Amino acid sequence: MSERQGLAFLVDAEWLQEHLSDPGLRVVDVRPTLEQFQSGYPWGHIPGAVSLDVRRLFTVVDGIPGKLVPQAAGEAVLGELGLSREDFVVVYDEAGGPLAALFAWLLDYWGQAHVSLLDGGWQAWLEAGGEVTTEEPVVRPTAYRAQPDESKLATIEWITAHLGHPAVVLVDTRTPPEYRRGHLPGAINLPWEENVVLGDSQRYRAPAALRHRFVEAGITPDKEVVVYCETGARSAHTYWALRLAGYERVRNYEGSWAEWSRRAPQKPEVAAGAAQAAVGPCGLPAVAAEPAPASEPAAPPTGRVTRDQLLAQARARVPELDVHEVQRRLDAGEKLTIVDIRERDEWVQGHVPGARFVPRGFLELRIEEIQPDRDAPIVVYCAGGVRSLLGARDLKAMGYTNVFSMRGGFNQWKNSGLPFVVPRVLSDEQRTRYSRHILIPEVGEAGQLKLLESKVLLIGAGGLGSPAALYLAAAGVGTIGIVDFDAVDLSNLQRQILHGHSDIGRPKVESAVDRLREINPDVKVVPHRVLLDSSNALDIIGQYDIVLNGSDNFPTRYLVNDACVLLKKPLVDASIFIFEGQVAVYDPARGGPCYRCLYPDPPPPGEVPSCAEAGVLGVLPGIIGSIQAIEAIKYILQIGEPLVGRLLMFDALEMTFRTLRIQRDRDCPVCGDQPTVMELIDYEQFCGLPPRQSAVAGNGHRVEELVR
Amino acid sequence: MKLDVRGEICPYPMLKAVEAMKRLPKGEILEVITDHAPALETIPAQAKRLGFQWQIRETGSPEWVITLSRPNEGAKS
Repeated sequence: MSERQGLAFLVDAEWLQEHLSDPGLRVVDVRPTLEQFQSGYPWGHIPGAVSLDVRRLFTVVDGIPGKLVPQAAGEAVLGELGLSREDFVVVYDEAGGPLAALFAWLLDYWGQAHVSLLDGGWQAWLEAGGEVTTEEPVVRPTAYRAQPDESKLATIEWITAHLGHPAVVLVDTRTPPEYRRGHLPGAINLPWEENVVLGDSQRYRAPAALRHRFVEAGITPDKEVVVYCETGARSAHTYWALRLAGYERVRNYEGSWAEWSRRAPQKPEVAAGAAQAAVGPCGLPAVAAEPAPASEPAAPPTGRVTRDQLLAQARARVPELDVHEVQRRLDAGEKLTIVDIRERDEWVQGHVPGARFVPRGFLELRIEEIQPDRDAPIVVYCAGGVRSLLGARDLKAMGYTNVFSMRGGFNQWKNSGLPFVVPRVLSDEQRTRYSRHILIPEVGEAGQLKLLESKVLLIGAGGLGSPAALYLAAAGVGTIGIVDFDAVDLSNLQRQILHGHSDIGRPKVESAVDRLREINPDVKVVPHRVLLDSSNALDIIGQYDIVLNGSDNFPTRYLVNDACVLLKKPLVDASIFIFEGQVAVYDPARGGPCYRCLYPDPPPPGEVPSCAEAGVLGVLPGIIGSIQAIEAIKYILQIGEPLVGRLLMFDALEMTFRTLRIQRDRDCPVCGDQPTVMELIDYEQFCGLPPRQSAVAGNGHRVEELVR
Repeated sequence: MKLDVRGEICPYPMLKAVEAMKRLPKGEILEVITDHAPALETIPAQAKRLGFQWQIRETGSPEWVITLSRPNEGAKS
């Protein structure tokens, strides 16, 4: 089961296929029937599903259509379907749409023990090759007893009592034209269609993407959210989107606009500038023709104004600055807050250097994060200088005293030959792929871009290199180089999870490239199928930002250490031995020791057994290599405390992590005050020579004694 | 082909129109008759998603005919 399944509000077609005969699982088909197109329940449905016409649960009350039937009438309908409140009910419509969401919300409101939507509905069932039948199940009627949970319902009275409450957000899920014609006071417009990914089956977007959408709109999870549309169905779809995104306090306003527009105690709000649209195209009835500039409640009624009159009013209140004047003031060192209020697709084409990006729709919501000082000078710009006039006017209404609109906008800026920058941004797919990273404040979109621009070199595609490579690739490290000369051997597969059985005999770098591309096609994987030695190490390592050492022999370990010191590259070093492992970050250019500070000389040849001789627990490199990957990511993002000057030691049998302090050796021949090794040497020869001193090292036990 | 959804309220006009568009034989034009004003926004929004063109005619009070067709198949009415 996927993570989305874990949220329980959503099941996918594959899951439903497996659980169709589970006791207590009931499937309800709410698709409308279209005789002329032979579409709907009678022409095929999920085996065992019962059919429900949701219209039976809604009626006209006091001239208001789409109101919920009295509870007893609803219970009778559910009882006819043979449902009990204890059942696990899965609801589907044609394609993951509002109708299934509406019925599922109703069950949720009425206290159903467990209700889920079939993600993607009937279309997803067909796409998954689910069985289709025209047989109707035998239903034993029940006495359904609802237990309404009033915290899931918004009534007109509840909303009226909570209008303007800072902890309550009203979300209008209709299309923008419907919203512009009139909406609840203070409501924000988030059309329901944007809850789903494009496609026939209309599956919900991933929870993180949904959450991102809501947070972007200023809806934080601490808020109580009221969703509405015309009759409560499209809003039910967003009700579930919010629940999937982790919002716990959500109410569906089942009366919705159909009720509010007829019964609202005060005049409905019209979006600023939409006065003309109130009469609407196609002779639509003017539901809310009262123009009310929402952003300036204190202003006197302006009556009907045209676009040009509105702009003239704004121009009278907002001073404009010429692009050259803005540049001159920036050159003079003035601390101007420059705000680009265009849309994202305009921003990514280029912007004024140093400008902050806040789309017009979020300007008032975010300006205080960007510039809390009401008297600070702020320059707002858009593409041509029109939207920025209105935006600047609204900032003035918030009490900002020193706001300017840049005349001619970015187009004028660019045409005047002034400098601009083109930002690097994530694609939509990347924003979804890395959504869990983007949610973390310490990473965010900027951090993810850093990862994508970083270059990491792995020495060895073996036990340590495998998990490190997999996680670094998944995390979106843009370039991963792998040095390994070996071919995959059957004895590698117990721990080297980068390679599979069918890779036996292939060069490890080749199977690594294939596997990592599969994990993440964003990542450029550079194979270096060479024996790393003094002749090539500087060239290869020089191309990367950081090196992870997963080599299994002393000559390579000393070679990589020395090359990294000479090139001033950070080295995340690690070793493993039977049940123990250790990790340290060597970065003497920025402080801390190098490998040679700890182990000036290699052990005598043959004294320290290798993994091939002593063995290693297969999972151990998974832990140690993953720690190397974390250290690399921390280094790239410049977050947390790196393992510089510390040696982390892991003992799998005791299940302990210990950290030992390690210090730079001022007499170190490579990174000391007076280094004697100024270029790479012959490391085979170096490791074959007897040690100068008695210190020996190479595995966990001795290292511990040595550094204590 | 005609799809009469008079008397239906949100979301039925939209859902039925979507299903009809998906099943509309090639070369055919779909005429949706509705008396539910919000459908004049919800149906075009879905038509756009499905790559259909549309035209709206007011035929009563309230009643409209939304003509839907695939591009290059003409939505003349």
